[in-house]
Amino acid sequence: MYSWLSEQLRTEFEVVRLLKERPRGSVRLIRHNAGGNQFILRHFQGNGEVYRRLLSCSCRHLPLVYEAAEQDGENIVIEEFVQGDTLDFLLKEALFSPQETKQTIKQLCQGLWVLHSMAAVHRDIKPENVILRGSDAVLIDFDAARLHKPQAEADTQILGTTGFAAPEQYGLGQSDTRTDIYSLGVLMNVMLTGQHPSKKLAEGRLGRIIQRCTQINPAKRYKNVLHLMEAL
Amino acid sequence: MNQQKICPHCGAQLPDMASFCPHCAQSVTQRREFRPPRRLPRRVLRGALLVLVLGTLALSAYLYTRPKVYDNGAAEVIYTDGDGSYQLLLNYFGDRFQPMTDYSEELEEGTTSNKPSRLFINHVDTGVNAKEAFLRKVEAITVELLRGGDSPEPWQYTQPQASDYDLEAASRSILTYTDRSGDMELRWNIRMQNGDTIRLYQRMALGVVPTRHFYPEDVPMDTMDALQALVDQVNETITSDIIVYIHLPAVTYEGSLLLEQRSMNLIGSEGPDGVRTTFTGTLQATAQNGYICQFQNLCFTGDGEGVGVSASARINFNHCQFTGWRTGVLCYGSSWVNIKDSVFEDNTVGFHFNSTSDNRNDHMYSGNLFQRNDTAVLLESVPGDQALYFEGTRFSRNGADIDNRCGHEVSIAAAIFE
Repeated sequence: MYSWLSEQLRTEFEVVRLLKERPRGSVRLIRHNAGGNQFILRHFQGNGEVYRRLLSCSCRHLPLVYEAAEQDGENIVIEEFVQGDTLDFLLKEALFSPQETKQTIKQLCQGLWVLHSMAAVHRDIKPENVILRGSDAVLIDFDAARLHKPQAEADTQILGTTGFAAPEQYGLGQSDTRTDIYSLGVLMNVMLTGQHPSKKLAEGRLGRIIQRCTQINPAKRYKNVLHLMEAL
Repeated sequence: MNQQKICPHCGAQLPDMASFCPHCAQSVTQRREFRPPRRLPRRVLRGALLVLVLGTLALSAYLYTRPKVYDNGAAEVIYTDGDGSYQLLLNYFGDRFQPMTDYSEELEEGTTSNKPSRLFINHVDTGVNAKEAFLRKVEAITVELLRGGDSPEPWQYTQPQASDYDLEAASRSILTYTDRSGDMELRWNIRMQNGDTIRLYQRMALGVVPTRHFYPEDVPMDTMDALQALVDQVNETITSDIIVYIHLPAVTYEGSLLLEQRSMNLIGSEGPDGVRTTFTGTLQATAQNGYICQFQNLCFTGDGEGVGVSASARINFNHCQFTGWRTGVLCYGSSWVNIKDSVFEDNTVGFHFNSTSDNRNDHMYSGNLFQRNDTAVLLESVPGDQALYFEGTRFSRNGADIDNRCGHEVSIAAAIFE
């Protein structure tokens, strides 16, 4: 399957541009030769199980995953090209209002609920991985995502982005769905204040929600994204 | 590669595992759209829970405080309010602790009877009579017939009220019925001031005892021989479950009469000249089978010797007269004799009670006249320990009014001594 897909990509698609290059993989924008449609092509090392599970589902706050193939730890993924600006880009211009922030985080919660309900944890929620497509926020890049194993005590690899990653992602414990809630809390604070909550916590009720999201002890955070949505 | 799948969009051959057709850039897999479940906001849930709890409390309070109906179809109900628990019960007789729901009675043909339905109220914890405290909480008490109101001779009842003659009872209703009244079901309805309703029931199965009457117009009975022959004939031909009345003519019977085997009732009469049915010889009653003998309107007149009536049978005397005997009435063996509204005069002993009966009967010896007897009443042996009442009985010029040798309790409070 992996070889077949690689071959088809060479013959049926052309690379438009390289979007991201990392030690563990790359992200490219590709175009279908015949139809001209654009897709995202991911190459990465690691476990691609989350992408394979997303093949059969759709959610307006996650990119559609069209194909995923793996061979010897090497993964190829073809996914929807989500057109829009990343939060990272938008935050360079201005902060978000509390209302915009609430709406965006609630939408990300909906996307995360899909991942979490298939026992997956995103583990890399940050402004660069959120694209605003019109009024819809779309969570992208599941390269760091992994399946949650209840028995495991600590994550075997340190993944995620400094500042947005929860303490347990640094070996303090095993990451579970509450790991993403931590990152959502940080993201929310950055959208409102431009800073990490440890430096400047947003004011008011949203600040209290952020505080609860970013508790060191996962047990003190919201139990799941539905509770966070309800709080918002 | 095994080509096992055809693209539905462009017809290209694809691996079986393929989700995407690279030839036409279309998805070839079924997708399910995921939407998170809608959670009701917690405050809405809290509100709903609060409403539910308040609703439950309100319902409980309503159910607790709304008027309740106490009805178990029987003659006893335990009613509880803020002051404690009360035992309410119905009884025909005087025992205020004994509920009587079902009762059966046999009535003679052609007779009328009555019985009080009594309401008693006791404190459950202490057993004391709580009628006064309870009646203060009562709005109204009524009774009604559920059965027996549409028979050929319907049951009659009085509306319940307290009675000076029934001080233990909180209230009573007098039931009147005949042998044709049939079975009865009575319901007491007690409506409390707080809206509660208490219902109590009494049922009576009324049996009719077949009765035979013998009149002098139909059967020879003018002489003692004829009367004895009739008595013997009754003994031989009529079983003791049939009540027999012999209505005697106003004649004087000489010689002795023997009533044995089965009981029968002797009803005397009075002629136009004032002459009453009279016996000058001894009447010996040993009948043990059947009902209590009823002797009414009879005179027993002796010559100073002998016993007027010697009874080992159970006899109730009513309106009889005993004159000039060594003993007017002797009650012996295991019998019980009751005497009302009768006269004992000029006897050595008027009434001699010397019995060890297990079958006690009426203790009320009321309305009698004992006069000029050496001893009016001689109590040698009286069964049981219940007092004999001489209510309204007059003792006049007797040598001894009551010779109470056995020390039996006697109530003479309402007797008259002259």
